[in-house]
Amino acid sequence: MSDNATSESASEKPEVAVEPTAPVPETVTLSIDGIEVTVPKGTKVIEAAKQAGKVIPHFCYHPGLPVDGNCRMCIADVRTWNPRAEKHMPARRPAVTCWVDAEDNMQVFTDTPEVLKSRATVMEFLLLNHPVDCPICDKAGECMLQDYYMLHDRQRSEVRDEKVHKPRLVPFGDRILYNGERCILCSRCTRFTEHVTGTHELGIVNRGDRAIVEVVEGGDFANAYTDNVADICPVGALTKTDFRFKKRVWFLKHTESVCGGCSRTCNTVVDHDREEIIRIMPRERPGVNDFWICNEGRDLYKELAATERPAAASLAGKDQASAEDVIAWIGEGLAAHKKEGRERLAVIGSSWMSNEEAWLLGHLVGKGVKGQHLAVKTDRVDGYPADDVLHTDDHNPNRLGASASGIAPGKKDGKDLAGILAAAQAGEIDTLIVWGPGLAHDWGGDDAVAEALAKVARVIQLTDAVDAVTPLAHAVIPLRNWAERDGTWTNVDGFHSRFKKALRPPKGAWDGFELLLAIADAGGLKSPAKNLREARKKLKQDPELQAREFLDGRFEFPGNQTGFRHLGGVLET
Amino acid sequence: MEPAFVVVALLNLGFVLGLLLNLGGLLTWVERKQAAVMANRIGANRAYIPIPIPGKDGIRWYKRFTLIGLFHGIADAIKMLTKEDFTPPFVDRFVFNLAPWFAVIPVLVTFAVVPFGGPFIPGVMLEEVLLFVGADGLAATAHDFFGDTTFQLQLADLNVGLLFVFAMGGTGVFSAALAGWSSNNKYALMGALRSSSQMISYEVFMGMAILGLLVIYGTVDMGLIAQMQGDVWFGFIPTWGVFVQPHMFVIFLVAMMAENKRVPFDMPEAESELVAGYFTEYSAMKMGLFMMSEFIEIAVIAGIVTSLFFGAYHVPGVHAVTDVWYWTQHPELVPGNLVFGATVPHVVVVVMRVLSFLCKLAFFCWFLVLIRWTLPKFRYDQIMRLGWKILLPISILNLLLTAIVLAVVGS
Amino acid sequence: MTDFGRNPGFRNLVDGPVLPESAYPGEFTEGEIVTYYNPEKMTWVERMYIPYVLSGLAITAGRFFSNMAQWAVWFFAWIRGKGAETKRGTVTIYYPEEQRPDFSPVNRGKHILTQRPSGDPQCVACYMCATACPAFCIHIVAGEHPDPQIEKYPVRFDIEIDKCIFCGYCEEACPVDAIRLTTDVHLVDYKRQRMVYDKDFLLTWKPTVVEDEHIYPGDRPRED
Repeated sequence: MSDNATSESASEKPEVAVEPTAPVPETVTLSIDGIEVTVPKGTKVIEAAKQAGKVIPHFCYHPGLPVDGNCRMCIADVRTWNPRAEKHMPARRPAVTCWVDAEDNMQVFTDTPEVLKSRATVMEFLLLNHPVDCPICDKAGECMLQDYYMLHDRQRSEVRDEKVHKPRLVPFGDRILYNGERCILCSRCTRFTEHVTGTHELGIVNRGDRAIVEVVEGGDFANAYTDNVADICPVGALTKTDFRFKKRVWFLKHTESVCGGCSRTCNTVVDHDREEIIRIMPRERPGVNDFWICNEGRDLYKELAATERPAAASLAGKDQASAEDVIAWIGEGLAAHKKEGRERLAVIGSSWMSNEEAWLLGHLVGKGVKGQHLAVKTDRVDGYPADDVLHTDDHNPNRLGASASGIAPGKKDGKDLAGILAAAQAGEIDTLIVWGPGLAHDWGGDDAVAEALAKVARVIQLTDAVDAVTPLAHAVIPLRNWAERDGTWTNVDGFHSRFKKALRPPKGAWDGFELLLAIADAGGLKSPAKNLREARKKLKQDPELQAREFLDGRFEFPGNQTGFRHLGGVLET
Repeated sequence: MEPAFVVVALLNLGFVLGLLLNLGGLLTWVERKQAAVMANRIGANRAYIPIPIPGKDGIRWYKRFTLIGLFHGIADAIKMLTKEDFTPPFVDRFVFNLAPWFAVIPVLVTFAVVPFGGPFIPGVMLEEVLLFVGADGLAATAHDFFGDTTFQLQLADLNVGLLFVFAMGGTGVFSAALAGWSSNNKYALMGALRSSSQMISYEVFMGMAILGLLVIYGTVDMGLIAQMQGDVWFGFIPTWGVFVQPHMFVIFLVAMMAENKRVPFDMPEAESELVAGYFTEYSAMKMGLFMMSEFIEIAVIAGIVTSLFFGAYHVPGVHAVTDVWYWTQHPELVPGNLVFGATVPHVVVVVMRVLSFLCKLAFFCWFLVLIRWTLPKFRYDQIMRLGWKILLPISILNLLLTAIVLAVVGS
Repeated sequence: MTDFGRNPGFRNLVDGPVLPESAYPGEFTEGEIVTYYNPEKMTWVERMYIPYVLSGLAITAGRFFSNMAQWAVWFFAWIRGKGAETKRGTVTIYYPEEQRPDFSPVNRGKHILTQRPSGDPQCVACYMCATACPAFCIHIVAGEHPDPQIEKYPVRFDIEIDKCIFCGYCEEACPVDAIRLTTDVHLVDYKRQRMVYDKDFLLTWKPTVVEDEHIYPGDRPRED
């Protein structure tokens, strides 16, 4: 999804006719409330204002959707430059800034008294029939209508007639509920189905005060991205059944995270409260997921909660083994293998490891050394099918990143997954380290795994979930899952995304990176990095990684490019 | 040693110990109840002794036998005896355990020199009583046993009496100092330092204040001082210390209160600053001993002030046959037991005197509690300034003036 | 459905003129400035302490004796069975045996939940009270009401009354007048577990009735 709807619509617009002698400027410079900004040609004024730090209020405009301009909230005083008269032409009426392209020498005033009054009038119209039922509305707290009422309206309703009644609690598929009374008919949802998913399920029917959003006849609103319409709905007309009455949004804590549902690694925000994930929301990340995530990614927290996790570290032949015992045991084993018999050690990495963990594990066992067996397995099998919007056919996030960072077979004689299986069955492997669950899929079923592992002297599993390997493993150490630790994943296009710790990990669960450091300490191995920060720095400078084309030279960790609105703060999107 | 002397000493001892220990408990109740009444409240009234009342449907328990809160002292004692006696691991155990006894014992011992009934003749007294009830044989035996010897209603008739009081008061400093030092706690140490400096400072002019009186009396024997206050001037003014030197009474009382370490002189404890001062680390009965010593000290102060300034056991106009000093001053009067000129049995005078002493003691206990619940706490520098800059000069000046006046007028 | 739209108490905060309001009309003259100050130095008499100590002692001792006299008067009246009518030397009362009926009608005590005519709670589980609560003592679990006109209702509504500080913010925050604080203050129990009031308890409130104005010990047997 490299090109999004905005650039598409922008490129479709006919270019402004200019003098043939004058060179076509790539950028235009305009002033927003006296602040000069330079933006690429074709940028809308509302986007230019955002760059100047002025957020122009809006309902129907969305940077990820084609411009519609029906809500009239983004009006501002826009004065164009007349080159012949050599002066700014006074505006006859406020202009809709989401529709107007930025021009050179343009003057925009966003907070003149006339503009403010016009906005208040627009708000009054929008609220004419709104059934101010915020107490029972799930959107309350992140509702643009609420926020803009407090910022731009603040007047009493003068309507004395009964408000218009429309259908309420209309199900749009399984996941969305529509409340026609709250709807302000901004058409964000219909444009989403039209331009992003291309499924055309939603449409606005009827006219005047009977206009409502409906699922088109014979259709079912059941595509893989339906929940996005509830996110982009500026009011509480479309709400998610999954989040319905679960929590008021102001209780939620927001942590930046990444979806691991497929190798797209959409950037998300994990909304959690009292050490429990309440919902997962998309986070803006151009080039990866833009503004959207799929329904599977939103439901990933349920999968996380349903996962059976190893209770505590265990060591075969020892009751009540502490994690330190197990770590010492593993460390000694690794050190022994490093001295002699490197080819009798195999490491099966996970496609859910972070880049840092993969890098450190690869270094500890001798990445790229001759005769080193390193392979990445498939942890998660089931998921949504691949489509043109976001979803890929790999249901694991970091296969590419893990293998690029360090979990790749050695140069010569290094075995891949199938090779390790064959070697294990032949009894040529003494120690097998398995990271994470799901080996059974790659090795052809639980029985095949059991058969192969029976011939391995030491099976070590470091995992955040129990699978067929866990009862057979000689040593198990519980790990933290993606919601409980920090790390980066590299997606199928080579973009890196960083996820942060959202929840408090359960007792005894180890951070993968710290665990590897502890193992290195216990085995007397030399660790290439002392902490996560240093590991990231070295990872960034790794010539081998830089040589990879897909890394594109930018190993950057995006900052707060949030796609969600902060309560009471700056309104975005 | 004569057996009669031993018997009288044991009786005295029993009386004094019974009086002090009971007063210590009773004063906790007095403090609570009096503070409550002064503040329009009810005060402690919940502790009760359940009394079973058998009825038709089993035993009912009567739970309102509270005796206007008198059982709270008993409840306190039971609580402090049964609570965990926790000794922190960082303290100096020996000194830590020693300190509470330094608080209680000097206070108890101080009362030994307080004359609470003056000289009396137990042989005569018992004979009179037994004759009155009709046990003639017993009366003769009692007279034979005790003889006509004069004894003192005073535990120890020391000729250094008042110095003994000061000595014991000085020993009291040890309790605070040792407790604060051994607790190994900053608050406790701070409290101990304040306590030491405050008590030592106030002992200086406590002695100075009393010197003027001693110059007049010419003795430090508490029994003699008490006897000398039995006279009357101009027929109606008793020769009590308070009428001799009233300003010194005020200063002496202030000094004694500072020794007691209670509000308004509670710098060493200072709940708002030092947790509980020098006994911060103490718990259970060890803490209880500190508290008890404070309450007993109220009674002791009341006793000393009474015997020095308020005529001890004397009731004006009541004289016993044993008042040697009185008869030497008034040789024209016939010696005898007189109540406003009327001759009465010896026992009547003795009982009147003991009751008189107890009433004065009770009044001063009440007065000290009244002061404690009226005045706010001093600041530390105010206490020191008051002591060294005001009270001490006044005491010295008074001593000087008294000496000059005595020298001029002649004794 | 409930019309939340017309709130008569709403003020136009942008354009409306701000009128000067006097909080207590008639209590102070307008423009009057009352200054209280302490003199910098104490006078000679004040520095002597003793007159002021004596006057303080006189006040407290006077209070002591007058109260004791009143107690004595009350005691003899009580012996004659007229304890209830006679004034005592205190302003306090023996609490569990005697209870005061004269709480202010706006006293903030125990919470109640108001009801719809059907008996359902008026509450729509909007969490406004839980949000406003400074003691975090209100716990709500919202649920889907079978009546689509009501839509949202509290499945559970628990108030930890031992945490509550009775500030009344929940009452003020409530948009539907579902929670109120009554004058009932007798919120005592021997078990901390019983100090959590659930929805049913809050909906079925019976006020504590104090019949007599003053009931003194001995006049009514204690039930224990």
